[in-house]
Amino acid sequence: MAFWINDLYWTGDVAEDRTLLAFLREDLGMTGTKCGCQVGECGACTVILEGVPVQSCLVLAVEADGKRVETVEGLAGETGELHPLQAAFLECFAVQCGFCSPGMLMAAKALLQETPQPTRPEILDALRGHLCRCTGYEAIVRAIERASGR
Amino acid sequence: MDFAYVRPNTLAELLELLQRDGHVAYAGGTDILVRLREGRSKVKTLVDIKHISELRGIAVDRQGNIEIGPAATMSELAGHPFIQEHVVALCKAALVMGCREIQNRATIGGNLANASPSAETAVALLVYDASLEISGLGRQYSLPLREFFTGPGKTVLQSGEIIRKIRLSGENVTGCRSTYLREGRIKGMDLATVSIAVWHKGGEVPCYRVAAGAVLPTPARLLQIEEYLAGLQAVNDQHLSCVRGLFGAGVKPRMDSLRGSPLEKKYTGANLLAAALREVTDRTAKG
Repeated sequence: MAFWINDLYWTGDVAEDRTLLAFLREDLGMTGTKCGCQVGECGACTVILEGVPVQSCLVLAVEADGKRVETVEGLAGETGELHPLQAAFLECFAVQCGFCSPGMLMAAKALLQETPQPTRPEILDALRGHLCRCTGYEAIVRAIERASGR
Repeated sequence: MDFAYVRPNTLAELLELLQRDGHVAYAGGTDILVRLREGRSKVKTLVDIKHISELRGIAVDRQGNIEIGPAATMSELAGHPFIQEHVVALCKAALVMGCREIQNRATIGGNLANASPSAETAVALLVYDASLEISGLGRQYSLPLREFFTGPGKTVLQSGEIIRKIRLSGENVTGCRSTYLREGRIKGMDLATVSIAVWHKGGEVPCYRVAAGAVLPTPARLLQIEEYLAGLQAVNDQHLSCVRGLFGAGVKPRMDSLRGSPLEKKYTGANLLAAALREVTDRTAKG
């Protein structure tokens, strides 16, 4: 199969029963995307597929064939400058253990692409499928508001 | 997990593949991949339906007749301007299911075929009197959605058959109002404790349809309530009080549901029903 993963165009063989999550983490060594529940209930594995956020534990790797996948590794610029969302998360203390953070960041990125100035209810709705045990969510919501320029 | 994956390009190929042992249709994957991971499925090969153009998409004609492909995702439904405006119950159901990420993958065909007693789109489609076109190798037939569910997780689909199309007829869409309300245990992502869809067509002889999820073995219409409401030009508090009573009497939530006791479901459901009826008969609202 062949697909775009951030700025990289990858071609090769993939096992048919491999999830996109397992493929990213184990075959490509891209461990930024996290493995949480594996049943689509925690959001830790969220990536952006063809511009929309999906849970990579419920997508087969082969389904990415011909498509564009974006992960947290692709957020920062080439010279390492932080994406506005990453900067906002740090400024607002929205990262504690960091396990939910990649999923939160990708969901937030997809949200801001679609709705550049989301309201609080819209942010909460976009994060509905994301669990965080550390922050209590408030700092994350504020970080997204800050990154959106509110 | 140990299974094969095939990707047919035509309906004919798909139907032929589904005849083979252990082959099942694969759409959004949000139900079946979970079952496979938990070892609860005997599936050997996933047959991806998403690359067959006639199974995708949402089409609306001038009379308001709607045809939806089984591979249409929740996000596609909720993002369709005509559905947003004229099939409100379906739009709301699609937006409340799961979360954004699930909505981007979960399909309407999968939601119906999985046949959960709380299947959100089923409850909404029932009040629109939707019909299904079902196809298998060498056969095809139509069926009202009302007759599709036979028990929790069970439908009339035989092995090798798929839902090929979901149809709503214009007379059930044009000039009709609807809504969908549901409660879960938490504000976050959860299956419904109880869900209600209401549909209303005004005019000389007003007509109402009501469906509920998670309170009976399948998503179902509540005909007693519909009969009671039929012909009412307006719905007042007395009517609503009576409707609440009919709801409690007309549903049979199971004792051991994780998401609410029978009493909770009856009480909450009755309140949702009253709110939904107020919403669709509100003359001050647009539509």
